[in-house]
Amino acid sequence: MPQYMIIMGLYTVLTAYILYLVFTIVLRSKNVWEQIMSIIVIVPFAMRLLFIK
Amino acid sequence: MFAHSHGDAMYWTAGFALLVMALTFAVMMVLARRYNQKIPLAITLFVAVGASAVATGFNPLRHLFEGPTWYIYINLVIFCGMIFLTTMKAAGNLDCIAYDILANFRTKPAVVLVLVMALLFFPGMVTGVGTAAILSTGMVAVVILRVCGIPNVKIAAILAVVTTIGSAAPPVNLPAIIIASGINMPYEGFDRILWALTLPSGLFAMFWLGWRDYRVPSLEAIEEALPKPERKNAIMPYVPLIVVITIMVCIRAFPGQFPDIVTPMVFMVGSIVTLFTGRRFDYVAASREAIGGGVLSTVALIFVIGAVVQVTTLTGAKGLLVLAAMVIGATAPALMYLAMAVSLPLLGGVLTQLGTAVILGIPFELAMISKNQVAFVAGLSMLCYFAQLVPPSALGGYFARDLAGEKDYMPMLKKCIVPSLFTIIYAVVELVFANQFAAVFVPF
Repeated sequence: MPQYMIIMGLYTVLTAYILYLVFTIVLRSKNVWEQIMSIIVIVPFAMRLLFIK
Repeated sequence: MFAHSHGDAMYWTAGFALLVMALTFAVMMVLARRYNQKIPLAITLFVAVGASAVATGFNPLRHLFEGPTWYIYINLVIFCGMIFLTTMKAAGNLDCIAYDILANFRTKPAVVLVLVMALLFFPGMVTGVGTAAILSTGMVAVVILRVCGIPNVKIAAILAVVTTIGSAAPPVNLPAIIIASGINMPYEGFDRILWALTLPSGLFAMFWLGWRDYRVPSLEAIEEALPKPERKNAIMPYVPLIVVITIMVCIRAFPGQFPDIVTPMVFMVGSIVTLFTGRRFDYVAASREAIGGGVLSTVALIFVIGAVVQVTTLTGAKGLLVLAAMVIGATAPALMYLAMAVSLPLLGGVLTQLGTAVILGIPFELAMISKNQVAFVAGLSMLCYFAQLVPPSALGGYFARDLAGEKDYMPMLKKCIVPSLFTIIYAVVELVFANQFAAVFVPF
């Protein structure tokens, strides 16, 4: 398997891990502004996860 | 969607977009204060830029989320750098490093000050965020400096100024990356010029604020302030750092032979190594702690800056600012440099260092495109970073004050004036003689 495929795969896993962390922070937070702000972080990372392979 | 306007009409469109953006921003700030709400800057800027797109007849949804995708990589670097630093802290490795510095070099003030500077530089270097340094190695630096007899207000000033300068040091300098991507220039060849700017400034700040009050601490005082940390062996706390530096060096020294896993993954490897070098800790909890709070706000702000670049380019607002900067530059270049030195840090007090890099940094760079771009962007980025000390946002300054346990901001800010002025004047000299600096410090 080409090296770049492995590295891109690792980055997809890393993005999924970061998204998981952000989601858990959002769900635990009681600050509504922080929850709204996290949408700005979640959308680009979700686009990276879903559209770039 | 409306067609782009041409002729004189385009100035009106661009001006109107800027006006709507500024007005929406101001209204949101006033409303937040009126109703006692702490709206994050990222949301305020996001709404303002969306409103300017709608007011000029564009559908903002696509652009508000397309712009941020350019900044995914740099945000991964920040997240992973913070995870690495937090795991180092959780494993007790940072405590060991602090103890070693004090126990071995306490009689050599110059060495201690340089090592504390390195401690405060490192997190900013790898994440590009000054607050990352204050939140991670900052506590260690406070303990060391306090044991060495440096007054609290000066400790706060050291934290604020040195982490500000350190965040401009290579390899990651966020305003430089933002300005470079805003003018379609690769972020390459910045290392030596950024070292040339940050090292003298950092050393000056450290010695100006720390040298006079330094007192050699006794071993008992050190043991009392910093209980001897547990460690597996002498070298273990340094292993994660050695691994990260070795991988980074190998990637550059053996291109094509050593797999280039890129900076974020290097930090993740380092953070996993940390699991085996100190006390046991919960890796996922440490990661969550690393990316929560201030770091999440910074990352959100960087994504919003992507949206600002995209929308201001779309509406012509960025072009209008470039034109204004070029007119000032053509009228009197000295006025242009004065405008840079004053407006970049001061406007950054409202927009933060990243916001000012987008709104003013890119236009200033485009107006002076005939100079060596790498050297010029490096100088501009230094000026942008000093926004971290300017209220009302003063991200780095407030964190530093709180960590040092100071109540008021102004006494600390007064102590920051001389090292800040030294750095700003040095950066302006570098901007004026950018081509001469580039001949020595820029590879192309």
